[in-house]
Amino acid sequence: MKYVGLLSGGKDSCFNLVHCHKNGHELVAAASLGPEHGKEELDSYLYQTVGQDAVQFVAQALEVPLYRKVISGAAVEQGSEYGGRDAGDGGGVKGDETEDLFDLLVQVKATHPDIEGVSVGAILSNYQRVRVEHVCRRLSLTPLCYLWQRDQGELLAEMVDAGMEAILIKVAGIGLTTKHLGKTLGEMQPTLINLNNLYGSHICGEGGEYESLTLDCPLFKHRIRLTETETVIHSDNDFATVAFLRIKDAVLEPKSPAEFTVEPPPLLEDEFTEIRDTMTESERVNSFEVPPPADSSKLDTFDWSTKSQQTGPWVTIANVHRTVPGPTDEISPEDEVRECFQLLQSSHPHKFLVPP
Amino acid sequence: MDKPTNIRNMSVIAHVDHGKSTLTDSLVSKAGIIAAKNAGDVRFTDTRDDEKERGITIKSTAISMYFEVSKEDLSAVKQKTDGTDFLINLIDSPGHVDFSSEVTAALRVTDGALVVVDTIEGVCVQTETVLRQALTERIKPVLVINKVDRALLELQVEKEELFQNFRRVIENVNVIISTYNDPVLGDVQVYPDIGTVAFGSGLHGWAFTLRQFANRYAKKFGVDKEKMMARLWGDNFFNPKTKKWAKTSEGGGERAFNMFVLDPIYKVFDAVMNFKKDAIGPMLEKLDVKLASEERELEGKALLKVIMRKFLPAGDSLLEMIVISLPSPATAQRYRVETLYEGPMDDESAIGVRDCDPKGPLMLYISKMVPTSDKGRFYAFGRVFSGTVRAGPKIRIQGPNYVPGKKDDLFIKSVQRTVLMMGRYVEPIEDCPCGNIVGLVGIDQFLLKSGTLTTSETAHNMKVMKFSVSPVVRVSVEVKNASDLPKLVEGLKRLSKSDPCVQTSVSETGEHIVAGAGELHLEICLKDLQEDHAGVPLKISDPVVGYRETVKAESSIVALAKSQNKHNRLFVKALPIDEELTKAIESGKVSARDDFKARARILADEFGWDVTDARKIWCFGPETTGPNLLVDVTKGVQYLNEIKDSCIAGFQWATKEGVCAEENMRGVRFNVLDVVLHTDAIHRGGGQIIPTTRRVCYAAALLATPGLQEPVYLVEIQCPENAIGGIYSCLNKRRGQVFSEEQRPGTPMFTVKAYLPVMESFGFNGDLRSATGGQAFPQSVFDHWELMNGSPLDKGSKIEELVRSIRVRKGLKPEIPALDTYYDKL
Repeated sequence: MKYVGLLSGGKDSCFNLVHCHKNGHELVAAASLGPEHGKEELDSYLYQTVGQDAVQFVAQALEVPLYRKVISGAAVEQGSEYGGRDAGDGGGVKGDETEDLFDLLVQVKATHPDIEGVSVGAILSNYQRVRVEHVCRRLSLTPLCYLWQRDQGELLAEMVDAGMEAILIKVAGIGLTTKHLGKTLGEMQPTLINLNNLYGSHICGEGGEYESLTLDCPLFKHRIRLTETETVIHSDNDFATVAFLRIKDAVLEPKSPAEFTVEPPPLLEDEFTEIRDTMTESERVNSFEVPPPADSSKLDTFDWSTKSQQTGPWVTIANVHRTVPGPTDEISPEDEVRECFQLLQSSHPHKFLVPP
Repeated sequence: MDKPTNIRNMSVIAHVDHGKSTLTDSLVSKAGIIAAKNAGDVRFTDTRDDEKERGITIKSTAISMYFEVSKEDLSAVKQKTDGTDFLINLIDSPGHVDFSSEVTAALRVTDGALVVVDTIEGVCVQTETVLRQALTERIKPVLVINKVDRALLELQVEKEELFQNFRRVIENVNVIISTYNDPVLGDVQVYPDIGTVAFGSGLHGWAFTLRQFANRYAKKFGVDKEKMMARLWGDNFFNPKTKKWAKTSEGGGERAFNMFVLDPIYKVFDAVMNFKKDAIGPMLEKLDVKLASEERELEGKALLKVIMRKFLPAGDSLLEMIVISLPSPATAQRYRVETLYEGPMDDESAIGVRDCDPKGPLMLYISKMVPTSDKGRFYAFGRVFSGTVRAGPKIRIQGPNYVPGKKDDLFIKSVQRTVLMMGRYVEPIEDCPCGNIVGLVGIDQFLLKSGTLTTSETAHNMKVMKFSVSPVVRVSVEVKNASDLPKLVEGLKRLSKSDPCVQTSVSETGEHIVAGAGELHLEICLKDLQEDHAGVPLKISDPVVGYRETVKAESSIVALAKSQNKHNRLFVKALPIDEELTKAIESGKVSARDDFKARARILADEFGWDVTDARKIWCFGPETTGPNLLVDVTKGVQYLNEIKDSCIAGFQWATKEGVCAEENMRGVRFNVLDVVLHTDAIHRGGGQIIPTTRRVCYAAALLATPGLQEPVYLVEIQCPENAIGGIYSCLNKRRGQVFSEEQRPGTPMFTVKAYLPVMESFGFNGDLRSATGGQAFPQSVFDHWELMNGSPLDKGSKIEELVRSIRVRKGLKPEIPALDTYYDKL
């Protein structure tokens, strides 16, 4: 199907395009939301806002038209759910930044009425997923999310292997400092894995630890080369630095189209494939072999009579029940108990003193 | 050694110079390890050259001895025994406060303690410290009043005065015992009339308990031994004319103790020291003492020594007292198991320890490492509490950080050899059953200082020892030749192994730090490092003192910090914790491991906390045990539990490296008031919350009038009256404060007690010596943390200068970071 790619310029949105391509979808346009001109950092809940100046280069490298819109809303609804549940007219939250996405996609759809899908680079953020899905449902578009719920360590390795070249353009997480700005994913991989082991931070930066800019990717028809950058320290808090790289100028360089392969991961991981196999196996066995009917004769031979046993000062009684099969509903509980006592008295009169 | 009921593990503890090592000699001589005539001079347990040189004990030393009790005395043993032969494992410990960690290590592996007190000096500060330690470890004390010869020869006191002196010392000891007594232990106060107090002279090698005199007189008077013992002490008077006993001295009676016990001793002293040759002969006959022909030729002190040693041999009476009055491992482990074992009291290890079962699972606690003659290797020294240890089978070596079920700090290795520690020698043995003290070869590289050895996979650790001193004095060391650096690093490792208390570390600036309990301790450690462990010339910096950061008021406004992705906000206030509670946490009375409900009860009842708050203590810090608290006082916040671990990690970090000078924090409570979190779990992971918690703690501390605490010594100085002036002037120069000055009853000596900041204590001993003509002897023990005047935030104040110097030393920016570094605007 034809689709529009939501681009932040980061590694995830670009890598998702690679997967879309692999699955036979055709990219016709790119869309991006960014802050007003001059503002570089919004701390938006939904969008990557640094490196917006570079998005146009990414779109050019992909050779697709780019549609942009300024984020005018704010994170009004910060809960885990969003908007109304009706499919039709939507019921978005007025003034929320999600509505900017809606407006943008409406605009794209007007120009390219044949698009059916939207590529989204979300991996773990339910917050993003809920909002994108909400918007897509209102516009009858299909979200294409090939990275969703992938293992982050694996995913990062896959990106590096696939020849993605992305650099860190913002750091805002434990153990990441200004010196890491501008490093490529390949260079950062050991550090990121180490930080994950130490503090449980996310390897792919899903918790906002860092944001990236893709310079080269198998789908790119040109390479981006940064010619002028500047490190901006947003807040210097001793050990918790937030800093980003401002891209002042960049050029596109021609590149030879490279062959690439991206293996889509199997539906289930090994462990679960195994479980599924055993399940289907056992189901198959069960459906063909009807279990032999229970041996009813055994039930009859079983001794159900009232029993008692004396061990030291203790007496155990078992299987006190009516033996005569009579109408059960006509007998009151009192009668039933009385009958039981009679039963006991008659079978073991010498052992117990049953109150009259 | 296979009979746990016939083992006695005991340590000798006392104030410095009260004669522990000398007294130990007489015990050792009894065991035939050194010649009787040398006893008192050799100091067998002082194995190191510097120990001999200085005349003090530095390392504790263990000796195993064999002793046989006579059949009659066996009846006095109030616990189960098996035969008349006993194995006594004795540990001689150092008396100087700086080495009290050695005492702690010794106490852990013993069940009884021989407390030695000087007749003249009486109960001193260190006597109290070690007794307290012993009682908290549930160790039963017996008392020896030592240096009685000095009272007789130097001070020439009268009998009644000597009796009163004895009584006073015993009372003082009993006051301490009853203060720190553990009810589980029962009444462990010492009484001469039940034979738990001995009197004697280690130097001369004689000592007695009332039991020996009671033995002598019981026959003569035809009364029961036990009754006789009771009569020989206290207000029991005997009238020789009427031959009647009375409770008062009216009617010409004389105190039984003076008459029957002291009188013969005084007579011997008088006859020998005044050269009444003719009186000696008949007296010896009467006392049933036979001298060899060459011994008859002796005169004066030498003769006195020989006679007294034959009359009242110290080894016999002390060992007898030890065997009769101190508990065997089988008896002691039954009540000690609760304080020894961390795990549940009904698992196989706990039961093995409780029953002292040689067939149970192995439980062995390594309390310290003893250097071997093989350089760089150590004997692991410890006590078998359950099972039997032998070379060969694989055992689990659990370090102090081991958690049951995990694999951290755990090695599975086998012991190469087992040995008995015999002072300066070792004796190889095949195996060692529970109840004994043993040295192990081949496991030193798997343990840092102490640890638990076991064969049970479910075993928890034995409790970690709590030291009464903390390493408050630090120096940095560097090598003179850069090429020696690897040797220094290796040497530091060995040093930290060889001493239970010393800490070695590498600071962020690359300095190697050695921290010790006091100046003397550091001096010895550095000497060892330089000469033994590293063996290379070193440059040693001036000592520095560790400080503590605290807050003096509640935060003036609520501190807020946002996470780096700006999607999470923490609201925290800092406020000071009472000094009492802080101390309770430091002493372990209130600890992170307590049941939270029980702890909340204590906090509410004794420290005036709100019960709901007290139940919501998230954690202690630093190192999860320190005296700072993180308390959750939020109301109905979503997802709070999910970020708890990250908050704790950030809090541990913040309390370990405080905001002012990256020193530990102390006595600070952080209240988490509110938390605003991103709904999506991935946006509030550790990577975002840990730094944020750390920042918010710093901001809260900066808003709460930060302060600095410095360590303060309690100094006890013994001196004659004319030296007091010199002491005062010396203390005044060093910000010292005298708070007590009293004369010791019956002596011309004064005891001055004062508080002295550790910072000012360097070189104090030397100064004091020169100011008083060498007549004053100070003993310094770390006592408390004292809040320093002023605020580190005031520019130009003394304390700000101090903070600045610490920061520069640590390689930080000289200024304390401004509030807005940590505080975020909404």
